[in-house]
Amino acid sequence: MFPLKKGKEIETLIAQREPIVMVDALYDYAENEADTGLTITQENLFCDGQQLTETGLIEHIAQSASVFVGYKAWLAGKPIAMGYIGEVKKFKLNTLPKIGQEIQTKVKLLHEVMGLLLMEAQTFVNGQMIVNCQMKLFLNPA
Amino acid sequence: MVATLDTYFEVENIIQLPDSVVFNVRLNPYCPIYEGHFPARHIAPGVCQIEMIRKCAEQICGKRLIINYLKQCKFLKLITPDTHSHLKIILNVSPAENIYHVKADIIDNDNELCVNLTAEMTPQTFNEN
Repeated sequence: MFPLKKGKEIETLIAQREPIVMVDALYDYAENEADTGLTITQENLFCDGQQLTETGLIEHIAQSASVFVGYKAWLAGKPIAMGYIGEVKKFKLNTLPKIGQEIQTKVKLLHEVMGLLLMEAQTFVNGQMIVNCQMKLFLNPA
Repeated sequence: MVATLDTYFEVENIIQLPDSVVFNVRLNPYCPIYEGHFPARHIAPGVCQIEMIRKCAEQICGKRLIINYLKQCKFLKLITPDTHSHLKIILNVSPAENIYHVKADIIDNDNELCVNLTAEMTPQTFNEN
């Protein structure tokens, strides 16, 4: 897959900066969903031993949702917003990804009202789902 | 230098109550994470509150725990380490067959509820690597 945005270009879509940038590719975008990716490196802030932690996965999902919102804003010629997690719900973990693996995430917008987004996310490694959850995200102008 | 979360917080004291354990913790406003979250305004990342709860639960159980199921975690108030570094984490950890039911609240020094979490955690088995 050839990404729409990759590496440092992601920083044009979100307010987070190093050392906490947890998305390195935007593969696909549609009106209500996006596909993102992250290759897990040794330097990742959320690695414990050879694995990415659950909280690293949650942050990656939250930033995937922010990338979706940021790309939508970019298409509309609007500034990006700062996103905060309002709620994580029904987070089910199957396995933790390891250093060197790429995680790929599909985020779907279920509902949006007054700067509050209800998203659904699934994260995969080599096509196998490793985690799924729902998330509420608050948006504030950056 | 590789940034880590090792300096994110410190436990100041632990109080055992009849049905809960209270961890008084202090956030480190100089933790490198704030360089990126966010450059213009330092806000404690929500996921780091979940990580603190996990570490406190691990201390209660004496085991490394994995969050298999996060039923719900609500973030009710932003935590800004420059002004609100002292937090109270109130934990209720109850063991069941192979899992721990964990409930936690995080309260700031304005006595306001910032985080409310309900999760299932399991001891980590070291068959990895």
